[in-house]
Amino acid sequence: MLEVAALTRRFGEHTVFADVSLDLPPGEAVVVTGPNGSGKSTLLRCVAGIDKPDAGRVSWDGRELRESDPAVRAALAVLLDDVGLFPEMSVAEHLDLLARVHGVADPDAVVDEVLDDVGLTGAADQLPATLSSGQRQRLLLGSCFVRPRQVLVLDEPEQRLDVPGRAWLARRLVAEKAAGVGVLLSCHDPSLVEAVADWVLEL
Amino acid sequence: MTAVPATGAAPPPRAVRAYRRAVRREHGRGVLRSALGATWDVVVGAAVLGALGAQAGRRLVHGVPSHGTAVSAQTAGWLLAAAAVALVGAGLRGLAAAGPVSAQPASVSWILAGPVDRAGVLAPRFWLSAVGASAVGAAAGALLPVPTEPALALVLTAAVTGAAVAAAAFAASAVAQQPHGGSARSGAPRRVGTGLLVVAAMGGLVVAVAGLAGHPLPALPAGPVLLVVAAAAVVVAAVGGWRARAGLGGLDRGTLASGGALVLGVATTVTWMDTSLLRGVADERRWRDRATVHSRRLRGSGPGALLRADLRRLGRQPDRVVGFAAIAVVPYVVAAVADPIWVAVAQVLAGALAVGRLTAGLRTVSDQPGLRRMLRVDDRTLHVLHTALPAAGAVLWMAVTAPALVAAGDPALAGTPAAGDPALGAAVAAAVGALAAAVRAATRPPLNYGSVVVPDVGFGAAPVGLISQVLRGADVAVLLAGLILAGAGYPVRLAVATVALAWSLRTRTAD
Repeated sequence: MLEVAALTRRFGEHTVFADVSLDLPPGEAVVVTGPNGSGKSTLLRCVAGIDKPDAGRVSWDGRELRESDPAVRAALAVLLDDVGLFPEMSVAEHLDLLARVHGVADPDAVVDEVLDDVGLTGAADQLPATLSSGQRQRLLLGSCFVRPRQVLVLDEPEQRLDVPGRAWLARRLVAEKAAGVGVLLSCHDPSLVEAVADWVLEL
Repeated sequence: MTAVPATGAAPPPRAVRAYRRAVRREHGRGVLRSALGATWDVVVGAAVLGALGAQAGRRLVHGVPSHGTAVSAQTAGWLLAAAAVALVGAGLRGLAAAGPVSAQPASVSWILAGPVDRAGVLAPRFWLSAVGASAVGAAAGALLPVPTEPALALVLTAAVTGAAVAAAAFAASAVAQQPHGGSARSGAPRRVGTGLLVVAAMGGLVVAVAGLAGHPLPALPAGPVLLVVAAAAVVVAAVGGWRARAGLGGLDRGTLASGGALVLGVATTVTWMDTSLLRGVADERRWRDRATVHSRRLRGSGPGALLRADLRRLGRQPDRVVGFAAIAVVPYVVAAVADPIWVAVAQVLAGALAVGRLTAGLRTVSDQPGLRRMLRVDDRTLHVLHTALPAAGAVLWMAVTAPALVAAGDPALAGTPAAGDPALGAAVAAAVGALAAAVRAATRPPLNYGSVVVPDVGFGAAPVGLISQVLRGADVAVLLAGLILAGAGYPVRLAVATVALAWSLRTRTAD
């Protein structure tokens, strides 16, 4: 289980958030909401171990969460704004590589299924430099779904998706919860909050 | 909401430029002062680097080789011709990457998006760029023959030829940039440039081997050749320049913007000596042009899949392999013109460059913490896995360049079987050194522009750590070269290289 205890983050004199605590049991979703600049992304970066909080603790299965720990990387599928891509590899090859590195049993079938699910079958051979922002977001979401995961940490995943894409995302996250995956996401879309959230944390 | 009706014709380009000048002046950014400042920076930089290069070349050619054979004028002349061809090839690739006609991103969005006369707005920048290219060509042409201490007339002829060739290259690239039947042919100059680089490398190898074998090629009639080349280049420059100017209005904003982004990257690179932005823009352009590949699934799982993926990515960049092969000519060229100890130095320095051509995967995983996070492997393992390909390249480098040392006549450095283990150790030290330098450069952390800035380090304000960032990688190669020149034994060089390699591969946790 992912546990966050009394997390505080400051930038100089400015306190972004203070004493934030939450538990994320398997199969439940915590949705972080709030206006621009309220600290949603910073909170998720701290939870994922990318940013260091000034106080508080983030733990995974009772141990302090370290982002560089392979066990943490195997358990947490994280989508923040710093995800990079190999410029020489196609959409399908990115998903294939991830599936294989994470030891998926039948990577070919899983990749085809995820490509279809995120609506990128027609763009499977495209290189990242040619993707639209919406396609890129779909690829990054696909990178979370093509591999085994226990927790999804998603920073505004609905951004750049079209209306059908947002509906699909809501269904997919509900299915993830049903499969026992914990979901921690920040978002601005009230319909997504309503569809997915078990708990809402407003910053 | 009410639609705003058009009230008249768009202002002429002259009025647009006058308006921009007035705004800049109002905000304290004098156009002339900015241009003079930028020109001064370029002139000083080119003069310093050019003088260093010319002096190094002269010392290399006129040093007293220990094997007692002075470099023949024939060999030196042909090698300089190969270098000139290589410069033209590199220049064509650079021009193709930059556009060569481009506009600043702000101009593209705020001026060229309007109904102004696009050709008129772009024309001054077009002519200025053409003149700049000619000036660079003239400087290169004048400096290139300096190592052979040529007559003034030959220097002047070479300068004129350099200017004409550069102008022709610019004009031809600008014509290729324009849409022909709906699409630009901007890839053609890049391919021609690559071809010229290959020709130069092959030619250099032939000249070097012939010189080493004691059968130098007949003397190159430099004067007449230069005149013929200059005449042909002037024709190409005139016709191409006229066609390119006539087609300026047809350039689309996308083409102009991507070139502008690259020019901005060059400016950042020159100002901050940080190549990451330039590399990023150039890569973006290259892969956008390529657009799609035939997806092939990998085999295996876990770390093996990462290794195969790295190999496949290299396979999609054949120019990197070509570059590796072209750089392998350098030790042979040095063997033809200099003392054997310089061949050993070239083996390390050029080896770092050559092996660096194979580190794209390592650089990508080092630069992108988000990418590393997606993979179920710790950072150290990721770095080590992506060092496998460069390591194989270093071994290959050792194999293909060892004969240059043999030819130069120093078996103690060459790694010949007759020399026994010490010589083999020297060869291994060179390979590990080249690998260490390449890996250290590829694992360079991004420059932190938000860090403390030192007000003036002689060339303006600079962030703390700038120098160490710029020198990372090159420092190891230069250190090893210095150890060779100082006569340090191979165990010392091997130890230094190994420590540098291990240090570069340590896990960074500050991301």
